[in-house]
Amino acid sequence: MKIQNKKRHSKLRIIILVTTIVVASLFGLFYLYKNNKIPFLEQSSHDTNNSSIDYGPASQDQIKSGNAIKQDSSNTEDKNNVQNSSTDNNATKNITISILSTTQNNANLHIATSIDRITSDGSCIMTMTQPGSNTVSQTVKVQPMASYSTCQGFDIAISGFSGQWNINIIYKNGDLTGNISKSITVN
Amino acid sequence: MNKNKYILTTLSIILGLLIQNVSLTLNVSAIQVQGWDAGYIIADGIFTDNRSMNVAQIQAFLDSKVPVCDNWGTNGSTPTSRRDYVLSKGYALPMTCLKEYTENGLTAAQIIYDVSQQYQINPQVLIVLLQKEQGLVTDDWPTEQQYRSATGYGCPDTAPCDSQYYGLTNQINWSAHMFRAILNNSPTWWSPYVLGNNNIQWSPNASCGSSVVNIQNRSTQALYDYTPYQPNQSALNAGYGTGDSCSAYGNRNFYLYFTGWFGSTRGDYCLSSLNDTSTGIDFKKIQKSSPDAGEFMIYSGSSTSCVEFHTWSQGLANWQNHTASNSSNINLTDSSIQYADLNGDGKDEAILIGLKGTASGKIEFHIWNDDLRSWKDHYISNAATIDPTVSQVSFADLDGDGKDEGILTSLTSSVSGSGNIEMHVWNQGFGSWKDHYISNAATIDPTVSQVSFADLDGDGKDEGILIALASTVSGSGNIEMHIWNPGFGSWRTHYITNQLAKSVPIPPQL
Repeated sequence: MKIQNKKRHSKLRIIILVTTIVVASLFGLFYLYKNNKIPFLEQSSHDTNNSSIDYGPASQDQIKSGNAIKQDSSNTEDKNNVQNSSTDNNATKNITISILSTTQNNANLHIATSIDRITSDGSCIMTMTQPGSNTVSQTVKVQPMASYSTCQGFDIAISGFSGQWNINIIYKNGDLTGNISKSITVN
Repeated sequence: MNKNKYILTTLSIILGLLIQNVSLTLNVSAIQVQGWDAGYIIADGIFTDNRSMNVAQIQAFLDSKVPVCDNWGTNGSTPTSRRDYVLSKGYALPMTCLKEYTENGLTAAQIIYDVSQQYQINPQVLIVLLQKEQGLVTDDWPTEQQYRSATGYGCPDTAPCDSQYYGLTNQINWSAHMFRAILNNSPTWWSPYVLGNNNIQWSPNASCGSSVVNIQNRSTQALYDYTPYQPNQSALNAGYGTGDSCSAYGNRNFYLYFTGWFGSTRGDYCLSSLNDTSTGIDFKKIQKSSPDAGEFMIYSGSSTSCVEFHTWSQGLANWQNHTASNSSNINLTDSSIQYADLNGDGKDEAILIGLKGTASGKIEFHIWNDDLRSWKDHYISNAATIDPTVSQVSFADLDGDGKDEGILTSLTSSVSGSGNIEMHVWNQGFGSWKDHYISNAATIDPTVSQVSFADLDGDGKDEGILIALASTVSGSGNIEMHIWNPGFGSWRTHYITNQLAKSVPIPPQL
């Protein structure tokens, strides 16, 4: 019994010793890390006091975000390919067109659009109407951008245009068509 | 036994708490996006700095981000999970990481560098683009699809990518081409967004709404043309993480990765290295009825390649703000920066003055907006460019109307042949002359004397002051100030200061 007790005590001492060393080491490592004293383990957040390039390994956040970007891109491509192959090619295809921005700068109204295809084909017809008043119409070409296409316009002189207006924009390219309307107030 | 258990349990709790504390501290540092400015994502000077990295530096950077490439896809959750996924997609093995990828015999680093030089785009911008669109920089098992659409060019949200844009070189090339077109305000490349106010949506889902963003420079305009959404608060609160259903991440991730890897996108913190810079100090009135603020200016040699303004708070002991302007470095022999209240609103405008070598061949005045990042006005004057060692341009309110007038002062040789110092005062807009004055003082050597303007008597009108710095008129040996009467034809007062003339180095004109 005594011998067994001695063995237990020595085991316990070893456990306590190892745990103490581990705890002390962790405290030490933590202190060095927080004070940037570990040359091989630089903190990933860039020091904004200088503009040097960060040649350290990517942080876990950066890797995780990169993985999410990769996953999202892959999923989008898969989804779009499936949708595209299942579309009836003989039917009229609807294209999503959006008004990204309507901006009044000085005497001009600038309308930014996005067409959810990459194309320079077709045209955009914009009609701006005010009930009981004039109608303004413009037709412009289409320009491909990085991840969408845009109607190459519209900049409309708005002198004397104050009040509520309805904007309608139609994208048309053969049997591909898209349509968007929006109501705006011109100051 | 109970005692032993108690000791072990206590040690376990301490260890557990310690590990949790370390982990919490590390996580906290990653939360939230700091310094995001939707209207000014990156300075033009940084966006177009094509000298920021050479090929070897780009290669070293790519190497550092993926130390070991998982070419055979064995490092997933199981030894075959990545490999199975890749093969199920119909992609080939082995996979190639960006650091070792080649196309047409060129490494990715070389391709990035070559395109950056061709379009004068910062290679760091292109590196970040590869990361924000496909995660290629940090990915240790990238697929063919990621290289095919490496910068997301030609890939709409709801339709398949356009194959005419496929390939790493092609992708980077098209992206840089588009950026350059927007930066140049190319008439053949229509930009959906414009400088100034724009409504920018939070996400492709229009029902999520939008807010007005004042786009302040071409680089920010180019980024929104590329990715037409801004991050909402939820996306910004999430750091690199996920926000809510109305969050878009493209421009946030561009900002986060750029600042994380290459430093400030606006160069707001570059005072740590001021070697080989041209600098100056001036004072400006920021608000009516408030003390003038001291401003430390870096004309050239700044890390941002832009003229920088660093404003002291009152007491001059701390910084109030730092601004990298929209103007690239200037040469002080050709240009100067001054402050003047041109519109009489009680606040000084910063003015970049082109004295010599201007495109128009005339003296030019470029007035900054308050933010120093965009221009309020540009004026081409009626006066031909000057030699700054012969003449000077100053601002003073000579007539006391609350607005400063521009004054061209002939110092070493007179325009009319009078042999005296002459003052030629511009009308507002600098297109015509308001007054011409031939002073009573002979022309001077600007290394010995200088002409300045200030309201010394507090009557609301600035007086002209001839300052004898290095050689005195009266023989006193001290710096002397000779104050002109209005019209510069006679002296009002003469002062001999308490400062020895010889010990004073003549400061460069601001």
